[in-house]
Amino acid sequence: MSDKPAKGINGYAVARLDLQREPLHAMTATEVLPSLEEVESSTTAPHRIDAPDIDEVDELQRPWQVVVWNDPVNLMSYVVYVFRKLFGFPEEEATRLMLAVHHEGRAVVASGPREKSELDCYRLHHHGLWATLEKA
Amino acid sequence: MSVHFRRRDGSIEVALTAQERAVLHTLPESLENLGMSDADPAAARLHPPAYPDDPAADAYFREMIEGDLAKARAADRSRFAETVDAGSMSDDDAQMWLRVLGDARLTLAARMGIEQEGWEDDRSLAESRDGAMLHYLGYLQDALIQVLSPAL
Repeated sequence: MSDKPAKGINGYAVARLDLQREPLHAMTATEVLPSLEEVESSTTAPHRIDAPDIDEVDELQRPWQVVVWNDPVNLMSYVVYVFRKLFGFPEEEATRLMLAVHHEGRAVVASGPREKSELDCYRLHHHGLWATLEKA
Repeated sequence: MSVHFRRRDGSIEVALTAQERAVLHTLPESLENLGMSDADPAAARLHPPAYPDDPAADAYFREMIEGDLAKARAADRSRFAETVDAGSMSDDDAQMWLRVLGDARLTLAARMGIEQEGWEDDRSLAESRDGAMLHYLGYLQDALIQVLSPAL
């Protein structure tokens, strides 16, 4: 077994978890706080571990956005088709998003957890669309 | 209604001339040698940065997906080559055609240096070999989309 994380989009979530890039708020109190034995056997006074402040938690919980950028080559009809196919949008919503991309240069087409957003970005790249990821 | 593609029962009928099929046969090979090199504008266009402002995250993302993306595109190309001469195709194959036609257009446009809208109205471009190809592949892609969309 290689010690590198498994390649491939399907093994991606696992690789992320291995790298402990999960947000801190997912940790429980027992993981954060020292156990009683650790405290008792410690020669130094236990120091208080502050819970992350509210702003930090908000920052970590903010979802990721998938952004599609305008490009001068892909057909409008193709962009609408891809939005409908990949995200299941009704035709009107897919058309609205395509026009936002066309006139404003970009549009957010999906948002959610990082792993899901990266998979969406991959699928858009496979379909030739210019997609990027950013924090919401 | 397109003269090239028509929905019939569960599949899509394809009516292309021998010359058209000969042109389409050149697409898989033209897409095959695209590496990940940023020096090739076409390769760069087909692999946009997922995290343009975070090189470390972007490199990580690329490493994770590049194998799958290359495999998916290779499967598209080889299936496209198998279906270029077919008289009819499934919806799945037609969707794959959209991707191959699209990748071929993006590749062509990137190598022609097209970065701005408005090229569609450039007559001398449309009369050039590459420009005519860009228009033709777009026409085919759109015709196929018209046939596929009602089934979405």
